[in-house]
Amino acid sequence: MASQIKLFIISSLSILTCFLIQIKLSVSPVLTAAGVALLASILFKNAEYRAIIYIGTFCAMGASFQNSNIYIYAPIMALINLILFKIFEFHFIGHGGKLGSIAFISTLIVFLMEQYVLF
Amino acid sequence: MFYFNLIATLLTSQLTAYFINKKNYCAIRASALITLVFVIPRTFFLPSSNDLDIYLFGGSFIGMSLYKKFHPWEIFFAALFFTINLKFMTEFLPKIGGILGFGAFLSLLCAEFTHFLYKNLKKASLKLGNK
Repeated sequence: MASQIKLFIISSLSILTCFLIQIKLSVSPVLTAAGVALLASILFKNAEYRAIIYIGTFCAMGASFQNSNIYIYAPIMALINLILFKIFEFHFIGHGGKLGSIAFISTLIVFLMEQYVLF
Repeated sequence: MFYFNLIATLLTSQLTAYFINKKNYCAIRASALITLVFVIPRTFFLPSSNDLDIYLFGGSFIGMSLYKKFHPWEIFFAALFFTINLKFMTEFLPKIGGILGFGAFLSLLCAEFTHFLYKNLKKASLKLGNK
């Protein structure tokens, strides 16, 4: 359970970090995502942490939500990412785009929530 | 511009796959590193072509595949499908994160299905030829 909480926190932080770098420093989404992912792959030895950070960077690339809502949506996306990551952990191994697809599903869910449910 | 994007996708996909499968690089590090190697010079030498970044990054996702599962030719065709797909996907689903990864995933599925069809058609034509 503790490792899941760690993964959740790391995922939320990666989404927030990428989003803030993009907005505050006006860096392109691709550069931000690739830069953060490279840093994560150097800093973390654990493959799960690297993967969940990479998923988080993809979520922030879309940036469809408003500035103020990111603090609400980042944990929601992180939670969906974590659930999907655990479901597909042993599926589609060696299939490119798996992590991006997880990010796509979570961002789409949050995007629909933003449009029709929450605000 | 299409050919330029296609070359970018092919280049990063094949390079990423090579580094992961032959040089045993971590998939995430290979994808991020190869993207940065191409995107950073692009910002200096071709500052107006921002779209190219998307294809460079997307190509690296396709390359995050194992040769055990995908032949380099399948990765080649996936890159081709991706270049065609992405234009439509970004029009229908703008500003959704992970669209590059999802596009790469779908393109690889298309390439796998094309390979499957090709193999079976070849088998069927050989059988017909023998009869």
